[in-house]
Amino acid sequence: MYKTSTDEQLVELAVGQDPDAFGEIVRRWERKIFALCFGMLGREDDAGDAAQEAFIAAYRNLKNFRGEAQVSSWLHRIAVNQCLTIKRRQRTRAEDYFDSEDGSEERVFVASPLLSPARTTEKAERTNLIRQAVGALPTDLRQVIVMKEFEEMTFQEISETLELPLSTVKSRLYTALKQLRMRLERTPVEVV
Amino acid sequence: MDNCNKNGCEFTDEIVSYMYDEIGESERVKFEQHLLDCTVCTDEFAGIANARFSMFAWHKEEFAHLPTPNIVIPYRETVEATGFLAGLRDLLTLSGWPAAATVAAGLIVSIGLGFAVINYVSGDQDMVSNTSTNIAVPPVASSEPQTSQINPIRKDSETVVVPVADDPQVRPLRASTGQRPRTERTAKAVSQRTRDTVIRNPSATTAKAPVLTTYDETDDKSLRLSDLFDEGGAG
Repeated sequence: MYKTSTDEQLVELAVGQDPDAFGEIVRRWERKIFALCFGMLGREDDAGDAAQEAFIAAYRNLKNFRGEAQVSSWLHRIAVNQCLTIKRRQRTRAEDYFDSEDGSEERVFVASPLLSPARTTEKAERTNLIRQAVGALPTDLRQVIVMKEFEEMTFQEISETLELPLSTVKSRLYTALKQLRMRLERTPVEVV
Repeated sequence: MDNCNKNGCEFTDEIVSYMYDEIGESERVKFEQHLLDCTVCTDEFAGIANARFSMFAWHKEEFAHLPTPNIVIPYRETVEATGFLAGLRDLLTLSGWPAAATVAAGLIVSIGLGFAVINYVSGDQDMVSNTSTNIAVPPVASSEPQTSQINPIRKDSETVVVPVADDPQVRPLRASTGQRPRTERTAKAVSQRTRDTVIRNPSATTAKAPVLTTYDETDDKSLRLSDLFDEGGAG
């Protein structure tokens, strides 16, 4: 029924108390928002919680959506805010899954189930290092690289979603990859 | 090689565009040609591609197999959470018969409150009047008219006849409560008139008039016609 409707039309229907219309928005974007949250937070359960909270927040603020921006931009902004809120909450509880943003290796790291002594493998260690390096990136750079790699969005889509010039998106992605490379080179791990 | 140095490359846009295969055909050919000539850009491209591969590996190992979580929107709770403000807003934007019913109910309540206030105020007034009638008036002990006690101002305005004598030349004196200041000249005229009266009517010196009031002629500050005559004569 809603397959041919645009996101903006679905939002209008949802504002008119049509839950199915908002359900269609959720179906369209849940995977991408989940991927964004996973890339930003680095943990599945946190990403699931952030995605859930983001969609609930979006539904509560449907009437505030003016239509000036794209629905994708609006959802991404809400999701990133939710991720930052969760990270802030984790920081106060000292449960940050990523390493510190300044990249200090001395910071206490709360291991995931994958890093339990019995299941530690070289592959998992490498993944863990990558996760830490991504988590140490500034938020604006991390958002771009996650949107590119996890949501598999094009430069044009990222540009429209973040409402940034195309050149800025490319520049941020380049900087993010460069910083990621430097962080990974500092702790060389054999690529499996 | 012209645009590159050890610190960086001006082909950054082309590097990421080429790596993610989002580059136009002409730019692709141009950049590939540049990579053949520029070792800086070649090294840069290799490093960036390695970082990208790390992201790809992380995505593949930890995320790709994850099922999408079941997003549940608690529509009812969400509506109830925003229920009060939304309900208030809806109430203010009512239309049709609900709006008319709301207005009618408001009017009825307002009228009822108005009546209650009026009754309350009138009740206060009745209480005040009842209180004033219940004030005990002390009985008049003297034989004088009651009005003289109740309204002394009226007494002042009455003409008081001083029976000094039956002589028609003796003019009645009128008590006055006037606040006009008495001039020295008027005081002289009054005392002169009193002396003249005594001289013209010697019997008045022997006949003593009963004191009816505490009127003091010397305090009379009113302007009399005779005073005007006296002043005219003197002038």
